[in-house]
Amino acid sequence: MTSINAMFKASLLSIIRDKQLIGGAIAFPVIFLLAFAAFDLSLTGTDLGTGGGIDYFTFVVPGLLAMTAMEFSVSWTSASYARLNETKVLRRLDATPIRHSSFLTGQVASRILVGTVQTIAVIIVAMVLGADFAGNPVLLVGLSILAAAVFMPLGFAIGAKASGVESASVLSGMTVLPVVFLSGAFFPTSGLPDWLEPVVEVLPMAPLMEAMRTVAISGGGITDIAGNTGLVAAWIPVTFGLAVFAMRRPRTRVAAPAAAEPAMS
Amino acid sequence: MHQTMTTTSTLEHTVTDDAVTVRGLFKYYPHPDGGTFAAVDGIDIAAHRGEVLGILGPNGAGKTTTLEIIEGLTAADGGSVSVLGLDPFVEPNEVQKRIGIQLQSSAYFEFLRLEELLNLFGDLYPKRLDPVGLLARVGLEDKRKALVGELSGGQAQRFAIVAALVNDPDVVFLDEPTTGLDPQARRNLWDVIDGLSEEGRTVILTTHYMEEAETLADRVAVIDHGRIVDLDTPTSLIDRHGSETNVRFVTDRPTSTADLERLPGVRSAANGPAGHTSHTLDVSATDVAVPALFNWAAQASVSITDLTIHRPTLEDVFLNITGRRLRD
Repeated sequence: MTSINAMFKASLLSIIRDKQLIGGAIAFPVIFLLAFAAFDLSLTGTDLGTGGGIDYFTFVVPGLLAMTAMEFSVSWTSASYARLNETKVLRRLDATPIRHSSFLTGQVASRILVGTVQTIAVIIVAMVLGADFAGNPVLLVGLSILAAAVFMPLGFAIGAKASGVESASVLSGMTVLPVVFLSGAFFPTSGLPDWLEPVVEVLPMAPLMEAMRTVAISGGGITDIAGNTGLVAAWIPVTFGLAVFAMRRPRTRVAAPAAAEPAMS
Repeated sequence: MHQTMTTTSTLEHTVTDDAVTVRGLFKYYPHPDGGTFAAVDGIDIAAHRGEVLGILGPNGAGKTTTLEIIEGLTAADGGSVSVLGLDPFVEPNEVQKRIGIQLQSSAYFEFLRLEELLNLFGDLYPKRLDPVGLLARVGLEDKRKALVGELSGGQAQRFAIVAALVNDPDVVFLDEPTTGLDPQARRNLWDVIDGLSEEGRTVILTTHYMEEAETLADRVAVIDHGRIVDLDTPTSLIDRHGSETNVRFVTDRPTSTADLERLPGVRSAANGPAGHTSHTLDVSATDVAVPALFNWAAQASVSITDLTIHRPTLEDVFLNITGRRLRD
């Protein structure tokens, strides 16, 4: 517990003291939101097949939140971990008795805190720009936290397997962007071919999106999103386990080469 | 080879007194030309409790790999290791709780201050020392609010050493702790390392600096090509592998080498580059030969100037054992 707490503090201080990082982390989804808001938003829910009298902007905000939760979580953490590896900070931590799970928990918890501030900023800016959430925005913040808890370990897993910071960035983009688009962040999933829909439904992104839209658009409460929330939460042990597995260094013994036996003794 | 065998048999009898024992250690790495090569090729070594054990060897000799296996950072491909009675391959975390590790190149979270880093590291162990006291030990107490990136090379290296002491370790591993430092910083670190040994900690240290090994180490292992070539106290290594001690001096008038060779404790005498007024004596006993030389000079009314005594250093031993061929 002490080591989780120590890692949490170390990670949080590292983030907060990097002004560019903390500023960029909060500005990133807000700027994306402003880019959407620059378009003509007079499309209606009927045009989009979502029913009801909601505008496209309100339709997009939950998608944007979900996308931020995934894209940002994965690309940020994978690059961070790859950099800690490249700069040999991890090698130094390897020389201490900290467990990978404690490292991961502390790191993820500190980053979730930053992600929460980020989500609140997006929601406030969206409401100022005219988004009209039917449900409680606090639930949207809660769902974003849940999503970060699922996706950040995935980023650590990618960062652990990447050869460096550059490949970590490429690999996380390759993992995240297709999933985001397929999961209906920007377009309803009803447009997908029949065979692809069940695949997408199993991934955490689609239930997350559905839960967010249930809150934002249909005004759903906790009971209405319990099922989807459970589906998303079920992924936490999966990605967490994946990350811890990826972080472990190989400990296999190499067999002695036949030719390497010393001739003299 | 003879010495290695002696060490092995000693090890079998005194295993409980040793902080670290290594038997028949092997580690293979892929060879650039295909196949594998033995980076560690059957190393047997033991570090007695409370001693400073120096490990000397050319670049690529297997020093760092050996240390990293003992520290539980790298898995060996053969052999056994025991650190304070524990196997670092089986329970690296238990071993790491009781050892301190300074890596050849260490990095820390770049936005954390020194005191915060020591607090972070301290929190990773069951037992910990006070950060300010640790920093004071290496004269960094004024830098507690500094980032590692703001330190000079010597300061960063001193920090790396106290970061290895944060858990009050029984065994401390220092991998080339003074490489790249200026003479002042190096001597400051020697004092720190001496202090560790006075506190009863076992220190295992690799270095390229013979003077460092000679000053700090109780025993020195010379490693080459992944094997221990010799292991002994610095003095014994010098006695066994060094060339003879020379006494060089200049006389105010020509002197015959025959007169000098008759002096007790002198094996042979030769004239130096300046002809019959400069001399080099090979001596078997400096404490006999030098007084005898001055007695003779007084009787013969010869005045002696510029007298120097050249004792072989560990560097001579090292080059005699590992050869002069360039490595790496």
